Amino acid sequence: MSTADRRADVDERLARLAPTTSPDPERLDAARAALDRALDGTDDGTGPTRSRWVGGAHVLDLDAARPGLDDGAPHPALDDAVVVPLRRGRTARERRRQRVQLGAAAAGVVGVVAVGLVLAPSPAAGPASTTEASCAASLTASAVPEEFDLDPAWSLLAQEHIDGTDLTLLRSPATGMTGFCSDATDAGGSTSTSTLWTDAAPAPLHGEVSLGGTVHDEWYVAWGPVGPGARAVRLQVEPDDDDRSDSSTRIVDAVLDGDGWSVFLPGDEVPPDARVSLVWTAYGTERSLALDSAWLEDGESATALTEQRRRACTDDSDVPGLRPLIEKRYDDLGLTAMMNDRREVVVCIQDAQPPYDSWNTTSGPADSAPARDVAAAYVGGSTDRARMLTGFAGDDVASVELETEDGTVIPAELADGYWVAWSTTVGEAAWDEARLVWYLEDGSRHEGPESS
Amino acid sequence: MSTPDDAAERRERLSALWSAHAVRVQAYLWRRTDPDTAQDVLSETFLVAWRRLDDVPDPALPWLLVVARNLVRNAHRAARRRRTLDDELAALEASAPLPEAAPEALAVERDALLRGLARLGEREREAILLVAWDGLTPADAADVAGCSTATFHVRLHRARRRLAALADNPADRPGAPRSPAPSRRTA
Repeated sequence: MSTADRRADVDERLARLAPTTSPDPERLDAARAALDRALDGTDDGTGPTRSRWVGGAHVLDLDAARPGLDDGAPHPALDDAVVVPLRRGRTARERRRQRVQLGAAAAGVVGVVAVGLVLAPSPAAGPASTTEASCAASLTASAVPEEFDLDPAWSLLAQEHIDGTDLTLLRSPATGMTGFCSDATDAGGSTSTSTLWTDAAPAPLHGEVSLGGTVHDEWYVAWGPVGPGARAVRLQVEPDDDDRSDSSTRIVDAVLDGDGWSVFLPGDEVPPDARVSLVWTAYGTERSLALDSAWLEDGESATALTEQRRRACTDDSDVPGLRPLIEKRYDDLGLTAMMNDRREVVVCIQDAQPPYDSWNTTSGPADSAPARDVAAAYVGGSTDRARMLTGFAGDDVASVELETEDGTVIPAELADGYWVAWSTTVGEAAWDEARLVWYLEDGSRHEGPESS
Repeated sequence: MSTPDDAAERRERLSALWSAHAVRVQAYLWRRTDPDTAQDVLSETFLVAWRRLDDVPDPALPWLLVVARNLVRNAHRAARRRRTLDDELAALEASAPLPEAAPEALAVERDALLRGLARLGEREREAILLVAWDGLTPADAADVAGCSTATFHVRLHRARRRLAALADNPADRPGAPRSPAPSRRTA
């Protein structure tokens, strides 16, 4: 028998052993009885339900589920969200497929294209140029999964020719995608494409301008919608504080087209640490919006982008009255934790740039505070891109961290008795085995969760 | 506002979910945790399903297994217990009981395969059993395992290869007695 046959044979042999009956019918019945008691609100805690875990790690509390559960209504019970499959934590391809499917279904454009690409020209654009059509075809090929026979119906947002390179920005209202192509035709160079989901960008109010998205690679591209009454939109690029001078600050006029704006710049003209802002005029006054203002420094006030980022985190939850608890950016990702007056929280690890897609979202009550000098893990989530663990800490806890077996330390963010630790680099196995460590105000070190 | 009919309909749907999947979820939990915890998590998994009944997809099993897996992970995070090889083997034997009238050959086969499974890493073991025992597609199983489909295929491939070797070549098993090596010495 060949090696391949032996492996296939293993599957068949295992399938013959697949359990078809309960490994313990009595426990199965007991579990069903516990479920029925919880649903009927008759669980007095004396039945055969096993004792509950201590240390705050038990996600669901049957007692909390009791009141009114059997009224037939779908309960938004917040603590469920922490354990149900995290739809937003799927792979990029799955996310793309889902978005394309939803967008296509909404627009009714499925099945338009088989082999050739038929562009739906934007109302004011006239016939698509060769460059535009080429860009549209490239974007479709890269962004639309093969199994979808779909024309995204790209329309032109902006197009420029700079330094021998055609720069094209297209938008697909049907799918919510915006795509960028750079085609160095004059130099006989390469073509590159990028796509972003930007349908989450809110429509700006009168006199306001907002950011739909940015691409920063060989070229820096920014675009977004313009509200009524806003004009003379410019992009201002200020290098970092060390070498800032009036002469080094660059201001570029944005192209305004209909209800949108866009800017193209060579990528190296926007240093990574530069402060980039939108500046525009509305009703006789000059207004501005820092493009990195989604993530605030101490003392800074929230901007439209801050709110956009928070909405991207909380839109999928039904938790009312949230206010920011922890907001930190680390390179291309950031952490947003929001809490309300009932101490219900929503926590996201999300893209640092618009549209601030969440990669890992958890939510639940944060009212299970442990004893004063104790920290306890509560619940975690894991995706390919990031892992997260949240928990509670008593009043006397000064800091919390996770330590993996190889000595890696992941410091947690701690606020209002709630902590969040997360990592994009620690592997799943090491993450699961990580030890919870906390320090009290007196400097003493403690470990858990056994001691919690 | 919901009506009594709504409530009855929801209870009926939950009961149907229980009838269709409770045994499978219980067997999955027995592979991953102790019987006491499995009992708790089983009822709580379906309590989550009750609360999120409108979100439960069809087929429901992958969704239920993800909920169960997350509940177990959080339980273990509190308990920090490690299972020995004997624990793993006992859990596998308990989760897949041998039918009473099973032939001797099947019992022998079961012993070899379960011992091989117990020696696999946890993720490899889960990968192969989600497919072979729980009947999930690799894409659904990847969701349950919390990884991408591509990563899952790699795990599954590795698990099959290792299990085939461990089940069919006892000498490959770590710690298994080996035959004496042929001696080159001559008198």
